[in-house]
Amino acid sequence: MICQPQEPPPDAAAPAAAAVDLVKEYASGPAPVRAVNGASVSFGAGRFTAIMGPSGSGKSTLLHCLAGLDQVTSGRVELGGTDLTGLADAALTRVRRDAVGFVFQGYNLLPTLSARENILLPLRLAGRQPDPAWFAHVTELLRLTDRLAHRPGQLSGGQQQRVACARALITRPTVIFADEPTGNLDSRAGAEVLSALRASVRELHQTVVMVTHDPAAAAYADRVVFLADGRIVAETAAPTADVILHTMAELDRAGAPC
Amino acid sequence: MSRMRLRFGALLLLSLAVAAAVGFVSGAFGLAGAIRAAVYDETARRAAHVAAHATGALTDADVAGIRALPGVDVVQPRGLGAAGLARPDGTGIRLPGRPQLLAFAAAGDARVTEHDLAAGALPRRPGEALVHRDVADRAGWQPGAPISVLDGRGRGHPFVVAGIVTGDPDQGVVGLLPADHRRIVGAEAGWTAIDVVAPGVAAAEVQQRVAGLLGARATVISGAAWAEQLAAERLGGGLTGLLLGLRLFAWLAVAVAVVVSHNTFTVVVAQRQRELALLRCVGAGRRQVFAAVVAESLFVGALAAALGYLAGIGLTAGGWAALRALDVPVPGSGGVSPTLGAALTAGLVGVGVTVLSAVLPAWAATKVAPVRALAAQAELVEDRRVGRLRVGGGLLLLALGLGGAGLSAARQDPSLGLGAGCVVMLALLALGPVVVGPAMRAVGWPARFAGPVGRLARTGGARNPRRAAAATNALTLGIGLVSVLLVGAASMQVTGAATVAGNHPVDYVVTDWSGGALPAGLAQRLAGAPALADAVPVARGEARRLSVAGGEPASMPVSGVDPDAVRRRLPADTVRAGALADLRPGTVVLTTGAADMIGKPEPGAEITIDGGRSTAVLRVAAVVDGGFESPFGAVLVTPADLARLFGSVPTSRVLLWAAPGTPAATSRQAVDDAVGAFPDLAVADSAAARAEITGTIDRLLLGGGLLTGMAIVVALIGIAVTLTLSVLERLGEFAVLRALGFTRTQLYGTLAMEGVIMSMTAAVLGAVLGVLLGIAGTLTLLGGYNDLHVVVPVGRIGVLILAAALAGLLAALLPARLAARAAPAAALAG
Repeated sequence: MICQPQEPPPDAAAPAAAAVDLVKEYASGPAPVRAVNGASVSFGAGRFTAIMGPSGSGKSTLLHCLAGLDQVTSGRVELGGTDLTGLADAALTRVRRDAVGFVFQGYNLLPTLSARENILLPLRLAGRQPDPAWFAHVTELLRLTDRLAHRPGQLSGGQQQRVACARALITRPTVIFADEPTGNLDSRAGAEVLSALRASVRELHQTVVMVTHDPAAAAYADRVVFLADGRIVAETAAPTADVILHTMAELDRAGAPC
Repeated sequence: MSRMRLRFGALLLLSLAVAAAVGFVSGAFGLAGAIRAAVYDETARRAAHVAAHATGALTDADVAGIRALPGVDVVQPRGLGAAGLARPDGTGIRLPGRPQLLAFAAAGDARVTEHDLAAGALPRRPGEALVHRDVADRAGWQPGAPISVLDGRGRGHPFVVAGIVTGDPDQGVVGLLPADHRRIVGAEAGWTAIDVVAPGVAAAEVQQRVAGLLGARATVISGAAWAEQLAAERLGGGLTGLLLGLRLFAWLAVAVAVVVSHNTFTVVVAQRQRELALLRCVGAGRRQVFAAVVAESLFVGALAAALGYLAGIGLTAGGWAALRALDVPVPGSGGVSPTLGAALTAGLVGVGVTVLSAVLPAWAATKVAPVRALAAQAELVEDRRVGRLRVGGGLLLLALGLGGAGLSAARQDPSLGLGAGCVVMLALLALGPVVVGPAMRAVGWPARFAGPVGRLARTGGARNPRRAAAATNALTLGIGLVSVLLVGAASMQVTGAATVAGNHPVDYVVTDWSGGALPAGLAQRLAGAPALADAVPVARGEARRLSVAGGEPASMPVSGVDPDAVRRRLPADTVRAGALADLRPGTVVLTTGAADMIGKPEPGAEITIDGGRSTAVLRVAAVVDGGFESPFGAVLVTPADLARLFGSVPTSRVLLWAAPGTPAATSRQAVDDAVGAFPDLAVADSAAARAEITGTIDRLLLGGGLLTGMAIVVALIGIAVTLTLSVLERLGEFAVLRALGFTRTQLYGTLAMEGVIMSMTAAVLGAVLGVLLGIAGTLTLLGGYNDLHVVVPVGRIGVLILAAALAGLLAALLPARLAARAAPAAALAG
């Protein structure tokens, strides 16, 4: 199964996002670098999927392309039934605003705004009215109710990341993309954030796609896809930390390209 | 890598700010030097052939005596006297705004002429004359035209125009050869100076001989010394003030550049903390880090100096053009030659400003601990700490400054006022970081309603108050100065107009230049002119003593005017107390100025007037606005009372009113026609006086505006630099915003609005301070005027603030472009 690129089995649910034969090259020096080299993968709606892979396997680039942050070189990206390939910047911006939520490694909250203002920022940017019931529901789920008036500087790392999760959830996006959301956190704060992400999938029927290199973090997901050299090389459903570790070790042993 | 490029961009922008300051300094000094050089050049040229220049009360006999000295070639006497000009048919020619015309002694020899020819040639024969271009233009005369020059008794003498000259009309508008000059002006006036040309004889010897001949009646100096004297005279007064102002504002621009440059290096060093820490990690010493930052500033400074020097040359040329456009009499062709001195100044200022302002940040760079290289993400610079010392000191300075300004207004002490103004500006610099934050939030308040774009702009700009203050201070200072200027100019204009109206409720006043009696029948002749509605003769006697009970006695002139004419022509709203109807034999009307002097008598009080012929006791009929310049006179009695007090007194002035609906040119021509035959008669023209006040104020506004414009340009570059640096620091944030669905246009809008809020805050603060200081300054300088009106030109200041907002928008364009280029994917990179 390892090192044998294949079509992943179709997800049980209808896909919320999908990549088909995705290629992304970066012009760097005389020869372009292929960060993603023909990856095909789809992410079911209402599922929590983790993308894993060694450093340089292209997992962050894949995420950028899926989220409409980067133009693809060839292949196709679909998000909520929309083909993102070839969309102009303004249209991509609209897709990001309306259909995508982000959780970054560095939290990336605006330091001048309070937690409440940070959470509501995407709605304000879009000029949409917040739904008070949904806001209350989300902040309660993420246990932020008593922290809303604080500025990011007054919050712990875990709290800041939960504010970032709430900011992603508030627009009820088609997909939430999380890039190493626990990278800057200790294990307890990380666990809180991952539980919050899992709760948003279980209780709010949200779709989450998370890039991580931490098997413990990936174990919170419903499904893990493995990436190596810009391709999907393996995947496992209902993963445990042990299974993931084992798969990663095999990938490492296989080493460079097949 | 792209950050490096952007930082390079910021440094380039910084060098622009410094270059602008350098440009202004070298421009100001270049212009000053060029004007000085041109003045000296011109006077030296004028005096090049003069061996000796004698001044004193000199006569024709002296001229003849000098001419008889051995080796003397040309003897040119100098002198001015009243003369009239007319067309051959006798129609008088006068210059509006100039009470009378003066004739100068023209030179027949080009070596001693004081005038530049615009057309024609110097007079060679008796009967040939030079006329000033202003007169020639008005009368339509060309070289060869026949004209009539009128002597003191009004007799016309035929002349032919030989040439048309330029120069200061105060130094004569018609030039006659010495013999002709005598004939017209009269021999009794004498000459004020004599120039001697004696080629082939040592100048010192000529001076000695002339001095020996004239003895103690004259001072004799060399031609070179005369040239020095002329140059010093011409450079004294207005021209020197202008050059001083130019330099003052150039140094202001330098001060602004220091602030901007210091700011830039501080931020650049803060941004490079990791890089610097890494350098320290791999073994760079503190000294090396310090040297690296200073070397960078040296490079930027040298670049700025070179750019600034070139800009300065351009500005000098522009300055010449501006001076000419402003009608400032500057000599020379306006050519600009680059000098080593100017280049050295530019280099010193450019490099000095940049390196000095980089020293503190460079020192801060040495404090970066090597361990910072290992720290995770650099914290966003958020500096809200403001020392208590700063707040206390700033408030103290502000109180001192405003108190001083108030005191100077009360005492009318200009130097105290200037000092107070400087203290207020210092207070502004100290309090800037405290005031700017809240002020920005207040100014940016309306931006709330512009949606998320506005909300972000409002918080973004006020984030680092110290830096925002440093950036905006310069603009605040500039706008403050312009506001002071605007308040002063508007007040001067309204006060001037009121003074003209108060002092000249008449259209024309005809007086005798030498203070003598007016020709008999002149008033009747003027009254008969259809273009004139009213001609009121005024006779005047000097009272030895005016006194009221309990007051201070004084001597002052007393005027006799027909009471009906007073009632007809003195505006009713000038009456402060009493009634003009009570002016009749036995009563007197006083101006407030005269009344204040002798003890403020009320209507009905008795005044004792000793006229010399007799003493009379008169009752006060009314007190009217005005001082001793009132055309009717400060103390008004009936002609009968005047005769009783002083005996027979001739008419000394005629007050004239144009017929309603008559164009000014027509009524003026009617006056000129009547007085044309009398060159000694002076005509004061209140329309021209008003125009002159307006012209002076316009020139002041334009000149001051141009000068302040220099400082404002540097200030705006400063805002652009600050915004750019702030954008560089926040690129990550912008990437997040882009990832969250902020469009490029929205980002552009946010930054543009930030620039507008920043510059508008500066403009509003500057305008508030400027208006306060302007009011104090106006009270200080003009407090002595009776009709002082302090005016705040709200419209103009509003336009100024809007212009500042627009400029802020322009300054934000480049940083906004940088921000809009932030790639949304960069946000995920962490």
